[in-house]
Amino acid sequence: MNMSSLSATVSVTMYSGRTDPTWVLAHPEAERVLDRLRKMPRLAALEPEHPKLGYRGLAVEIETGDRADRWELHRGRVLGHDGRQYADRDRSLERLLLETGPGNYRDEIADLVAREF
Amino acid sequence: MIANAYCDVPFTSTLEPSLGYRSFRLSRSEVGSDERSAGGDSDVASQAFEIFASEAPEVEERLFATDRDVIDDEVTSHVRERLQFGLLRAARASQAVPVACPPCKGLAAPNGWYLALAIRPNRDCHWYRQDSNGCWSHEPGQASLTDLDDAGKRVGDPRLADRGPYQTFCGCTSTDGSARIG
Repeated sequence: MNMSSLSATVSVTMYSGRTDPTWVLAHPEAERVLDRLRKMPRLAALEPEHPKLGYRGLAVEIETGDRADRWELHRGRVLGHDGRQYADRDRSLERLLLETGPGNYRDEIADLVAREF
Repeated sequence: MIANAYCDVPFTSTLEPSLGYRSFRLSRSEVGSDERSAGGDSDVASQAFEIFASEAPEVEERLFATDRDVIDDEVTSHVRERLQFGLLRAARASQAVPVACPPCKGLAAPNGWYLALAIRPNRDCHWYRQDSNGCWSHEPGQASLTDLDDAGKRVGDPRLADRGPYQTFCGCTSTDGSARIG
């Protein structure tokens, strides 16, 4: 894998009427995220909760060449691109990804982090 | 079976399929060039208030008319696209928007739909749609359609539903049959 072409698109699922915030992390930040995702321990699968309003987690899509693997993170649980579930202990990766958001979402994400963590 | 909060119409049917509120979403492409040139990402909804006001200041009165026939006749497709902008603007100006209470019976396709709007002031908006059985459904996320509120209860009255962060209820309006919902 050519790591220099690696990128990660982060999408926060939080709005209804507005377009959800999305931003891109380039190499080497994206590589660090992928490394964290790959090292997450497996969890027993749980049924998804019924959908609620407001913040519903974030997705990170790791893109390399013509391949894109999507991971979804919410409240310590990660749904991998392979359909399996993994543990994001202490929600540390979820929080780290939120804090990589661009400045124009700073206030909104700061509010979100204060409420969620 | 759940009773409607207003007229005891029983809810017996399931959700109507193929919902999609994208016609009413506040997206960047709908907001217009003024919003984009203003730097946009700071607060799309807030920018939309001003655009609506400058483009169609007389429309707001029509949107809040209590006579639904007036709304159906007067609201053109251009105005309909900006329906939520007007509701949002009014909601910001006054937390109590003068519109009729949620109707007890839905319109259903092809006659149109009753819609209810709730907002997080200056942040975001969320729509509910009344189905033909009188119950209300909505989309918490683009891939999910439900008639349950955040507390897991069916939405018999969007004003009384657990709406999560969308604490400000703005009111109800209607669309005609030409509006694309789903």
